[in-house]
Amino acid sequence: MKNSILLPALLLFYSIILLILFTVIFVFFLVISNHVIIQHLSMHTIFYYITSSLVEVLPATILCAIIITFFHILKKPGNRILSYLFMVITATILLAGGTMIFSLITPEKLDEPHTLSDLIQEKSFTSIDETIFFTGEIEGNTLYNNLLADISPRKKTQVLSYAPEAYGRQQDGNLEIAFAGNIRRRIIIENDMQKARSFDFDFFTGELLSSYSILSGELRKLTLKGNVEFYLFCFAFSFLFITTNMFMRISKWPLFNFIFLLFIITGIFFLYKLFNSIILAEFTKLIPDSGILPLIPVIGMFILGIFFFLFDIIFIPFHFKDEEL
Amino acid sequence: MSKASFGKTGPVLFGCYIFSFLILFFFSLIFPSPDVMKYFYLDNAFKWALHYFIEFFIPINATAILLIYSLFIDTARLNYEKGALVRQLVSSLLVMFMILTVLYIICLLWIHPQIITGIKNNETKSKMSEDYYTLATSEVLKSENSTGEMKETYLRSAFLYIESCLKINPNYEEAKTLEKDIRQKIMDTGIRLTEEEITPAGKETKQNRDFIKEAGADDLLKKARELYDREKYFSAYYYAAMAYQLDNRLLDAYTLSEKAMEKIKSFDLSKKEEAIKDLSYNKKDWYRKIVSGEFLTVYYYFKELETRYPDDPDIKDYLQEIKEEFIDNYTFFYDEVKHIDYIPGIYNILFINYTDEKRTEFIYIHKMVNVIEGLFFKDMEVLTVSSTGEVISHLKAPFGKYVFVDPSSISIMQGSRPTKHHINTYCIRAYNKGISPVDYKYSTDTDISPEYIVKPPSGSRELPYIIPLYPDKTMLKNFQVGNISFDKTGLLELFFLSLDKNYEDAGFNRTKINREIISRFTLPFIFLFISLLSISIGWACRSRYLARPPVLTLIFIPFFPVVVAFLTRLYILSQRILFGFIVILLDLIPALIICIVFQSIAIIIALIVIAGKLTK
Repeated sequence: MKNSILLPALLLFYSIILLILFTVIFVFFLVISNHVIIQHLSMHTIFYYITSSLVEVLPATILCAIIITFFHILKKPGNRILSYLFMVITATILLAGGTMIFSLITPEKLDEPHTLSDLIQEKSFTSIDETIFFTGEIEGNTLYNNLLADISPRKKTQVLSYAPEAYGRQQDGNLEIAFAGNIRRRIIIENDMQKARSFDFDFFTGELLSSYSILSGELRKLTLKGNVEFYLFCFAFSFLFITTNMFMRISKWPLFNFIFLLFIITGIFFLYKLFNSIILAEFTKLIPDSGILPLIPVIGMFILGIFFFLFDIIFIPFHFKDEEL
Repeated sequence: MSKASFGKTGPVLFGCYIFSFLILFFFSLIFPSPDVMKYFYLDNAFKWALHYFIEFFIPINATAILLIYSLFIDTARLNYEKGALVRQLVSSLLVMFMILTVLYIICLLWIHPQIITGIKNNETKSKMSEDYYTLATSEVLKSENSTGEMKETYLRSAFLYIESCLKINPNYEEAKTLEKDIRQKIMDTGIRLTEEEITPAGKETKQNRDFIKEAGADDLLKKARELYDREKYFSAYYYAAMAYQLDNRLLDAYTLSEKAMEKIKSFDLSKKEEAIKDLSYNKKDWYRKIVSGEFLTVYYYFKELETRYPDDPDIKDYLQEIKEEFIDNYTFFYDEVKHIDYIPGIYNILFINYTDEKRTEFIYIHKMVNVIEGLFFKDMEVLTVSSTGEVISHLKAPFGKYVFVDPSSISIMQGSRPTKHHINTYCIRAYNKGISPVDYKYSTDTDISPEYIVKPPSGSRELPYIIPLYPDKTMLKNFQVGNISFDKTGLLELFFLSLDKNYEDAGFNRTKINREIISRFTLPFIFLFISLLSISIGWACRSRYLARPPVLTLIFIPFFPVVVAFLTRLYILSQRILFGFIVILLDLIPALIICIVFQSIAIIIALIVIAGKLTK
């Protein structure tokens, strides 16, 4: 009983530590991938980056905190039902509450949007899509002495062109650069800071992060609605991942158990991605305009959680006898 | 780990490596790269497997260690006295980890970039081979629809293309069949192939490069006499010397060259002597330079003389003569570059060639190839702008060739600082091959010749199609723009590039390169850290079964590296982000110092954790 009561506190503690760590890394990631010139970062921009990062990394933080807490359950198991109950309640509150609060304090967009001088380095080549440009001098949103190189493979008479001036302006939420003179080319820098302008992920990380971002994106979408679906999603998410605890005790070989647990969790992410991209589209064709559609992923997660939970209760003892762990 | 224990676990470690490599090899063989032809499959699969093995060596090694410590240690035979476990399980393995780390560094520094280059080369060769095959097929089709001389021409070129294709890929079955088909057609048409035509593509360039040697010595001597009579002594010397070099029996040519040289020497003896003293002039050197066609060297020599003796009419005359006779016609032949599309090269090079308070010059090169005959460029543009924002000149050249002026000469460029490196963009087609070069007819076809979109002000460029090149030619490959990766570049090369001031002067920001350096620099540390951490995790999570674990769990073992790869990749990513940010904030050297400190602390913590786990 005592061990079970301690679990929410541990979960909260690990969540806070991991949230700080993940947020710092994610803010760094945003700065690097969007080529923001660090010296030009204002306090307001840093605040915007931090708050939007908090929302982005929260589900991953809760998930990692849950996994770390599993080791405590393994060491000092307590009561199975109470342990799960306390953890599900805490995780749901942390996820739902955290997402709500962080979404509320995150500005919808940057009050002072980035100017070209924040994003483009003077006297060096900058690549955006298939256009390379070189700017001699930058003042706010005006670029002077610009060389443009259009290296796209389409047939063209000349690659290099020169524009004495270019102007940046906000257009549909993006930053658009229009060049003076005979140059018709326009360059658009997307203002959506969640979209990295350039960052090379390897296959493994890229796939894992894209699967994760679908799940976290769904959570952000539901937060905006703020209805019961959002709370159900948070609950189903917490419940499903906490019930995976049974994999920590599935055999008497802890390494296998832990790796198998991670395999299942990764599998859940990929399954969710697959579900969202293919299966949900098929459902939409079958039952269009139905109110139940947004609930299908929630129901899916909940059913899988119930299955894990029942399997745990029926087949797997809660006490893993080992003094080493 | 005691010798006995290591004897048992060592094979497990290396077994894991071999097993992983084989899996990766078969994976690469089953799913070959779509850009590579069958002939290269095996070689490419091996290279891909090696590439993946190095790329995933951290998770592979971590999995092996996890398995060793969680499954293969005979816990019943261990001595559990205080401190004995550390000695038995870790000590000797630590030495092996050090050796493995060194090997891993070698792989990252040298072997991995080589493998990537090999993979890219296979892709290029496949493309070239397919392109030659397509060209041959198209020529055969054209020959079928034509008659007489045209048919013969098409068949000849089809034969040339298919031979080039088979040279790259001798096992290309379709090409072999087509070659037989073309041979048959040639025989049916009654064409006799010369040895030259049978020679594959690459050798033609050399023949054209040595075109002067093919010219008749008598023709050259005749031209030399004509020029001597017109008091064009410099040119006369050149042609006479060339004629004598071609045919040593032509004593008239030698005599004429000597006479011409005497005339050159006599143009103002006092000043000449000074020039000789200053410029270490000697006759042999002159001879070599003129004969080997180093016209620019000679030209610059006289330019230097002109600056020293501006009022000397003879120097002016000779300078004018050299310019008219050689420099203005200083060209290169299309034959040298016509196969540029089929040679592996570097694409999209863009850099600032020159900048000062008055002007900035940009050069764009679509493709650069480095072959034994020299450095060639395709689709170049040179744009010069003034500091007031006006385009001074804009040259567009379909082809370019790197030329170097002998370092012993002193070069002078018009309005800029001197350089010995140049890009010659004046590409021409040569006809009447085999006749004296004097009688060559030059064609300035628009598809191969350079043209000015914006013409430079008159007199600003004395040699309008020869562009001085300021960065070192070896630097050019680093000036790629667009979606570039540094896969093919070794860590040391990247490091030196980052420190090279010319890289920034050429308009490149060092940030991306620095991020790549620090990201690669962390890898050996991460390797050691994860290896050590795997010992602790493996030991803590060791199997509690008295015998072997159930078969079902063992079947899952091949999936272990996949899951470990996810974890290690996330850790590597977090390090890349963290140190990427630090490198932007503080620059490379401070970031490297912070990185070393951070990684050392991480390794020490991993060692403490091991000690903690094993002394419990």
